[in-house]
Amino acid sequence: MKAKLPVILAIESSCDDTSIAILEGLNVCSNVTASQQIHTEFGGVVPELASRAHQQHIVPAVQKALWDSGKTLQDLTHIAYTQGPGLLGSLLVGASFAKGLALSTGLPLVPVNHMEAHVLALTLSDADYLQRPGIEFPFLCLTVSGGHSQLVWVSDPLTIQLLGETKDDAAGEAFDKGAKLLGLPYPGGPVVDRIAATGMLGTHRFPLPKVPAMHFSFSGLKTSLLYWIQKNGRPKSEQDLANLLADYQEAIIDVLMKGLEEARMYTKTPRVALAGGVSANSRLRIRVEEWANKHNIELRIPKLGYCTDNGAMIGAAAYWKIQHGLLGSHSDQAQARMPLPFQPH
Amino acid sequence: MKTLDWTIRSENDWNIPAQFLANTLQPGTVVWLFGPMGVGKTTLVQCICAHLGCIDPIQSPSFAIMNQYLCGTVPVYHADLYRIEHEDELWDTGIYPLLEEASGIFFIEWPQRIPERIRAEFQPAYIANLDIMPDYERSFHLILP
Repeated sequence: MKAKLPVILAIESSCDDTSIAILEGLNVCSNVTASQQIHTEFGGVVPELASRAHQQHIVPAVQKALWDSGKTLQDLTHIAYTQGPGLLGSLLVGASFAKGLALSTGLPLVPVNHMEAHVLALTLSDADYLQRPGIEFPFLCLTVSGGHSQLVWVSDPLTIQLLGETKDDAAGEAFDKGAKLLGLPYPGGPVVDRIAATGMLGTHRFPLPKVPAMHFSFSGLKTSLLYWIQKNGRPKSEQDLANLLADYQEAIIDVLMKGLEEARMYTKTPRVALAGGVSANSRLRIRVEEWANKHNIELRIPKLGYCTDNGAMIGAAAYWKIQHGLLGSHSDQAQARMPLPFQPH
Repeated sequence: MKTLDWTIRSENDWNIPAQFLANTLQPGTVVWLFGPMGVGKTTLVQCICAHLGCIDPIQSPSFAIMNQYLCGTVPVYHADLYRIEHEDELWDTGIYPLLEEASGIFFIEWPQRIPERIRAEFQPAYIANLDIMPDYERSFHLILP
């Protein structure tokens, strides 16, 4: 007889979003990201940032996740939460809620590293998350978000080796700050993506940063854009803006593609995954898909709604930890700074 | 009030003020970093931390609001308050208890988000004013505690 699958309540609260998921094994039963919409349903105002927002979101989000999954508290076998890295105040809300619930239900806790979770989410068997079956080990993963840009080699669920990362700004920040310099709204990623799609490539040149293989740097791109605006002023027409953004976006993606190609050469991997909020960028998705086809690489990219931080990814990482008997305790503390489980050699 | 001024003509030039600050900063000291986006605030922090012997990667804290590194045994807190919209949100970042505990060195970008009367409570503090000049140069005006 097959062993009973764990039923995991997973809590993500490392930065801006509160997201709760219920998983049965590697299947996502529900995933609820607290948003303005939930709050409209449940009433109340939503502060923009961090812990107070999490405090207000967490209970309704857990209720909704349970409701959506068709499960009850009695069905749960484990409670997983993001231990770090992230903003301490935000992490504490998730960790404290998880511990409280674990105390009252007697269920075991599973603390999870947020960066590890982004990566292990690619193993979810849920067709909805990836729109294909989960990736197999080992694989190469590029995690690109507002706060991170990392290339990691995932030998097995517990061994994630950092191959390279950004030396300064994250890829998502390059989008946000570029948008800011041009007077566009925050977050800049989706706005730049949309406007750049109507632009023509090749009217502006941005320098490719000099960084060690498999590493990234985006700060120089931002400065180049700043100098361009200082010299020429903000673009006068919508088409000029679209052209400028198309080249700026392409430059960001060129940096990522260079790192990805270097990592492919280094690892000789046939399996690659993309994770993090920037993996929602339509141009990046096209470029990576073309590259993967060319090199006969099996590729996984989360579907659009799952690129940014979510509870399901915390549940995925928790699943693998549970399989290896790695449970937490009530004395575990939220950690603002938390390295990956396996550091560079 | 003692002040120091530098003109930065290349990224390498940050090493001179960075070396000076690395030699003088003690745990409990705050450096308020003023200057527009792209002026080099994070670059300066990277440079100072390198001189402090930090082996942690120093990345931009803009998204995370606050990063924490270890330079030897000294914790370094590197914050970017740009995304703070309301004074209340500063409590959510957890920065005030850390400033009061004063066990680390603080580099705080966009400190204008903290009301001046509150900023004045945290001493000793360096005020670093960075600005973008013509011809890709930067000016760095430092007010000592």
